[in-house]
Amino acid sequence: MKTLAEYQRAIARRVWRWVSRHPSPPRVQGPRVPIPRERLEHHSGLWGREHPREWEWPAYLDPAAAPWLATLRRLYASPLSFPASLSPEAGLLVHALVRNIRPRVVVETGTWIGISSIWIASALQANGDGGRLHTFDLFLPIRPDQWRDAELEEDRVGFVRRNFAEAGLEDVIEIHQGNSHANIRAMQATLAAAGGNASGGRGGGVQLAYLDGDHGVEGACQDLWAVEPVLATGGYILLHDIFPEYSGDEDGPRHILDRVNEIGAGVYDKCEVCLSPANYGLAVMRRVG
Amino acid sequence: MSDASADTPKPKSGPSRPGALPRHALAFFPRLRDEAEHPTAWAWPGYLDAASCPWLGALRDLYSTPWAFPASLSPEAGLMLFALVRNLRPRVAIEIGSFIGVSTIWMAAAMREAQPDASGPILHAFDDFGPMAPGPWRDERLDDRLGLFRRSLAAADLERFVAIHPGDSSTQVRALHGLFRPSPEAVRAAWASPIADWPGGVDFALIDGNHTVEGVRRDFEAVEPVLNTGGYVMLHDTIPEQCGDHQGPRHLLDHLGSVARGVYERCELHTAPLNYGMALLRRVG
Repeated sequence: MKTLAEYQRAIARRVWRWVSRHPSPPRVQGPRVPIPRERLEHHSGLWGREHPREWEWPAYLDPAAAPWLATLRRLYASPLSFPASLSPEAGLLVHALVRNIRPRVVVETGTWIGISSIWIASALQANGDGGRLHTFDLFLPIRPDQWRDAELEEDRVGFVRRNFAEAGLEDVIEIHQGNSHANIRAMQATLAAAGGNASGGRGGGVQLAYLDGDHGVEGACQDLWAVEPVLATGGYILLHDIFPEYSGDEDGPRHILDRVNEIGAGVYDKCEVCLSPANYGLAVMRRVG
Repeated sequence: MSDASADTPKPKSGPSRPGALPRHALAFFPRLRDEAEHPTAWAWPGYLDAASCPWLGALRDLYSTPWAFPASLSPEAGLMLFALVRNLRPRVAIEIGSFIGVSTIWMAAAMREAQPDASGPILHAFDDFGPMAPGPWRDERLDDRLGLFRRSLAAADLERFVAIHPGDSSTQVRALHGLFRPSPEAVRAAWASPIADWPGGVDFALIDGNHTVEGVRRDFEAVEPVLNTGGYVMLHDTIPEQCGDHQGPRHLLDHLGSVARGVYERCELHTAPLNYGMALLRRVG
């Protein structure tokens, strides 16, 4: 005959067995029934206005103040910059984020003509603690499309490298040509070892990843999964073109954003940010687990 | 984590969410080793000099006054705030805690870029504008804070975009709820029309006023009823170990789920050169 205490222990064992077999569901941000995205949009997007045909250089940035600003000014004047490059407003936001977050190892997928790289690398240079940007792109030739009459005659790698040199940023940026996720995987060991610094910040891999490469669901996920194993805890991921209804692209970034805490290996905080003048959207994600 | 935590100061408050990593495990931001490394003034980045921009000149002058350090936003953090506001394009914004107007100028300039022909004030600045005693890193006292604030705004040519509300911030915000709160008709009209006229409500709020637990909660609760769905809230000084042990913003962040009426997505950010921390919240429910 069992004593009361034995019964209690048996019940506790069964409860514990049940609980341990049913882990709590992953933490998902947002309301139970999500509010549709268009209702979250508080600014005018493009309603009632023409879609811009080129990026407009803002008056508060003086190209004479720094060589990289002059290079950016020149690149924005080129028809190749629209609409695939970051707008000047969005570029300044990425620059300001890098200046404040102070990463020392940054990975970028999708160099295009190097505008986003210059925004990031100039911030790393101004931070002055030896940060490096690794930029990955296939560097396929640029062809005309519906937004763009121009095409790039010369080799894109050479073009981008020359711009970086003119901006005075060539020793901050490393260019990696080829499939981005394969190349990132190939240098995971190097990235994981980098990032420490003398003044007490801990290393441990990539501290900021700007993902703007392949926009398909498969390609975007591949980039994420290549970066994740070497992303520092507390490290940031920036996703561009998260509003497919504006960016008119495939919805890989959107897919990542909606499911990152299910498909990602880490746990992420995130905040979606509208962009100007065309609301392609930028997501700021931070790995917190 | 045990190998690296030897030289890491332990945070006072633990993680808020069950299973969450402690905050110091997330930081790769370089730490200050001793007092000698601590900056004593903000350094204005040279690449922000644009001769044709009066507001940048006014900001630089404001940064060179003895009162800007360390309580104002650093130029780096200000640039981040500017770039965020510029991209988010809030129609109406609130700023709680204007201090001497550094953050006000950053925000108002960004809002003017998006709405250059706004007919009335689009940024509402709340502060008690009381006299400021000398503090750590600040040797001079300042009695006429409102005067300096107004002069700086005038120099930046931003007066007509900013409404100033001196007094206790949460009381003042509550008193203005009638101005901010959207009426149902206005909301319906704005959704039906392709032109997004302002249907009422606040799209962006910087909360950087009273830094006590109670003060931050009061300000947040005053802003929430008029914050639009999809609107953003920015908190400053979210890392108490770095910014003089002000626990309020941290407490709000850690207990957001139980304090807030709405549902928020969030991302915490570092600030340079001193990592006082900022947090960006977006109301998604």
